[in-house]
Amino acid sequence: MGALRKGFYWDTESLIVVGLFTALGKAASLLVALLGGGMNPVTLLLKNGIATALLVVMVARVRKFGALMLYTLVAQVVSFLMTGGIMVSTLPLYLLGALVADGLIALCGGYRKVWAVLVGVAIYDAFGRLFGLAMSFLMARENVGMVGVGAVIVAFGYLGCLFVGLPCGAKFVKELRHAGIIREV
Amino acid sequence: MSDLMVEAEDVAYRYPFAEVPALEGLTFRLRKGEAMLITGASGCGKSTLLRLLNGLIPNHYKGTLTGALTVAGETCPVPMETLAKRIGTVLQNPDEQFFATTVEEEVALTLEWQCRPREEIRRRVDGALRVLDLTDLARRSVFTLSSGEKQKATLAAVLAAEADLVVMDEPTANLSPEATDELARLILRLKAHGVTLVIVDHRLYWLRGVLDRLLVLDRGHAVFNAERMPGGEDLLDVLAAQPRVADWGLRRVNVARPDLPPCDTFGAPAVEIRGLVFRHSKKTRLIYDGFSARIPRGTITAIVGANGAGKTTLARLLCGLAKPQSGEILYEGRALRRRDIRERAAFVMQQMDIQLFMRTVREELLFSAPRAVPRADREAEADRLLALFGLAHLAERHPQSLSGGEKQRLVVACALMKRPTLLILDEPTSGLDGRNMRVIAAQLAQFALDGGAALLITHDLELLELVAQCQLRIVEPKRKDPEP
Amino acid sequence: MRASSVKSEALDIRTRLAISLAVSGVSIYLSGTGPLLALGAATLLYVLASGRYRVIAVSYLAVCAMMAFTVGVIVVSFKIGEWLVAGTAWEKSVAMLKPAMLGNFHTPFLRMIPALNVLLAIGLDFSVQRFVGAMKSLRLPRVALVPLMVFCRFVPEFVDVIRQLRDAVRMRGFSMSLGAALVHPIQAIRLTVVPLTVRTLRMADHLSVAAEMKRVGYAKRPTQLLALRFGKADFAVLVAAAHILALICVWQALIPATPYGPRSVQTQEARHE
Repeated sequence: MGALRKGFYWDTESLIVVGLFTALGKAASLLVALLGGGMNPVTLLLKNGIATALLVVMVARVRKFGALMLYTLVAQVVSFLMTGGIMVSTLPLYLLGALVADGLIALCGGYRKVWAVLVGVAIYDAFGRLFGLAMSFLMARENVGMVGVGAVIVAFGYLGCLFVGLPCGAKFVKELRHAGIIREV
Repeated sequence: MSDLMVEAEDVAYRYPFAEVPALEGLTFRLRKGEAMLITGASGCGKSTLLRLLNGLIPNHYKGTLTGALTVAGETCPVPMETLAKRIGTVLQNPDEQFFATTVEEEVALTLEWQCRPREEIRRRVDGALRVLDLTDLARRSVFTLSSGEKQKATLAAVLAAEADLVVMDEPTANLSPEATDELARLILRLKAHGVTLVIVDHRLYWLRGVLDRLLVLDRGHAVFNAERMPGGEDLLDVLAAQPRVADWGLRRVNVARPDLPPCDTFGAPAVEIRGLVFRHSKKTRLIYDGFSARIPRGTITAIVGANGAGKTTLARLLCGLAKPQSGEILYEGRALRRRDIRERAAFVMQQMDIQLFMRTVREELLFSAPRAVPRADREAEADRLLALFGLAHLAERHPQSLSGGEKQRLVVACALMKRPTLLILDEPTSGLDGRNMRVIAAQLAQFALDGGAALLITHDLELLELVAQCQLRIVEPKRKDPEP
Repeated sequence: MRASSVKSEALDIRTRLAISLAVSGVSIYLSGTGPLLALGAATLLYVLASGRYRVIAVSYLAVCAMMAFTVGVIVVSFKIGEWLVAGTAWEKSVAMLKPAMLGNFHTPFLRMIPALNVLLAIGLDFSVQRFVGAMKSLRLPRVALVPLMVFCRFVPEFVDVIRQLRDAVRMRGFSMSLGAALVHPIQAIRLTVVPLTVRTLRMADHLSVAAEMKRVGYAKRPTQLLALRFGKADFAVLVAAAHILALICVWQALIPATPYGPRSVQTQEARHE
């Protein structure tokens, strides 16, 4: 380890991994959207499945307490710089959600355990969706039906996370560890 | 003060958990302003030596280092922040070491993170850009640069940081022959400025007249270690005269650009292109405007053309991956649907990681075969190719865990699994040692002997000299004058 | 409006981000039709200054289509619900939900317009250079700066990698299409996620080595070679925007509002009943 590297909790390597996965996530969601729009059920499942699987791999690679918080920070600042908007003001709320998820991973045995990462990512995703839904309630509070439609879409996306993303993510982490691309110890 | 830039005395290094040392008994010296080449077959330890020189070992990679190593006056181990100010590294692929998006910002990056004053950064950046004739490209996006320009931008960053020692890892792997020649001239210029250079490369021919020291490694040991004497023979010629040179898996020291006949007059066509018109979108320039050609059967054809002339685009059109605006592509005299074309063509792309999907090498090969072929036949073919490409002992390994040379052989083997009418290879041997390159060349030659048509897009003159039989030249269509 | 007369490209990105943040926040506070319309009009002028009329029109059409789809889904589901519960004990409860479900579609739609406008004002001229400029001008700490540098450098790279991956998959006789994903969902994910993650992790390894050698990420706040620009135009636009937003907020405050919408709408509905 370099002498300076010891000075920072977040080493440059982890910061680079988070930056790369954020970029990959953006590019991949763009691709899925181009394939079939964002609103049909298959695309919704696939998009959320791929995003979750990538997140699982990223957390398994970074293996540090706060990985989800760091990802949240970067993803929120990226979307603010790209499109502006009010969402950035909810950053503390999102960070809190990520902190809970990171805490759960630590409690479940740490970042080396695949199932602990899965639990953390599942909770993190749920928090993110809840906050998003709360935001859409603020935007469309005069019409419960519109919030309901949003809730259905969000719930469907979460199914993609739970039943496509997490199993695939777990499988790929094991495979990448076997191939020596992600360190096991 | 000593003019020695590197002094190694009986240096040995072993990676953590490795059974055998990666380097053993290395002793050499390099003086200020000299250029040294480290070469050898894949896995010989040259990358490890490079990491020792630029401080990545033991700062980034752990392990056991013995012997005495002094670099730029500092005795190893030295903290990275000290070495980083004295040593600049140019990695094989500039794309994987750029952090900024414009040339100027990339050149300034190291200085910015050293928290130097803005005026000093400006002065040093401008100076480095001037030395490398990059001033006009200062504000250019790195995404629009050619491979040669990217390499120069990386060198400019190293110069701006005022490095005493420049370490280059496979600098020509992605360069055209012209850009390679320019790099050789640039190295001579840097030497004249007092910069010391250590180059790790498989390609040798381009360093004629440049080298002051040559080190050949084989399984971690120096098997050839020579210094150029004033007025003495070129080190490449001395190397070529070594009796055991053939055992070291090196590339040739003398390579010339082959003079190939045009492919149109070269036997019966496997694929015929008629009046091809293509542009990526309405807003972009016309890449092909009525282009016609015949790709002969049983022959290896080299696609020749300037950077950006549309060589890879032609490959995509021939494989049915892109649709021409007009014109025809006939396979064995028949116009086919694009899906059917994709069944008859195989395309080995430059980027290997994205062509490997499965859990084992064997599965990867089986996955590449057409679905219509019976399972038993597929398995027999996979076994045959595994043996031919020297991959049989790796059959159960994860494809992504293979070395660069092994992966390269695997993707070519996967392409052959399809038994294609047309096989297109885009830079199949970049970054490969002589041994691996010759394995691929031999299989290509066999494919052509069996009646297949192969198209080769490559900057590798040695591969062209070995296997290419004719050429398909692509000339950029003339731009029409804008209407008044 | 003075703000709209200044071409948006002439403004510092921080100005535009601040306007975006303020407008989005104010639009959430607003619930009256008049103030929302005023904000929508002001922000429309602001985005029209970009001169990208066609893209703006297409975006408006897309939002309208999305809105129409949502309204359609709500109306159809409600009618089905009504039909299903007809004659049961639930009938009254469903009838009570009617004003909340079908009563007010226009306020959320009007609220979406200013948000869309400021989003377009920033998103329309998105470029990597602009993004880098924004990132640098915000003087972020290393923990955000390094990932963001990597992000803006590698999004175009990944778009290219995905394009190549699509070719590689097609050459193996598969396609990256909706139909293929439907038939073989697990294989579709394997064919995309495995090569992409491997490529990303390898890039991460190479970049980490490069970062270590260039000392990128090894200082708390690096020097920025390119100077920041915050000119008179930015100041003028910010002042004008602040005045306009304040006026609109005052207008809203003068409307006696209910917790879930402007009284005007509800009283109108009451009058109809």
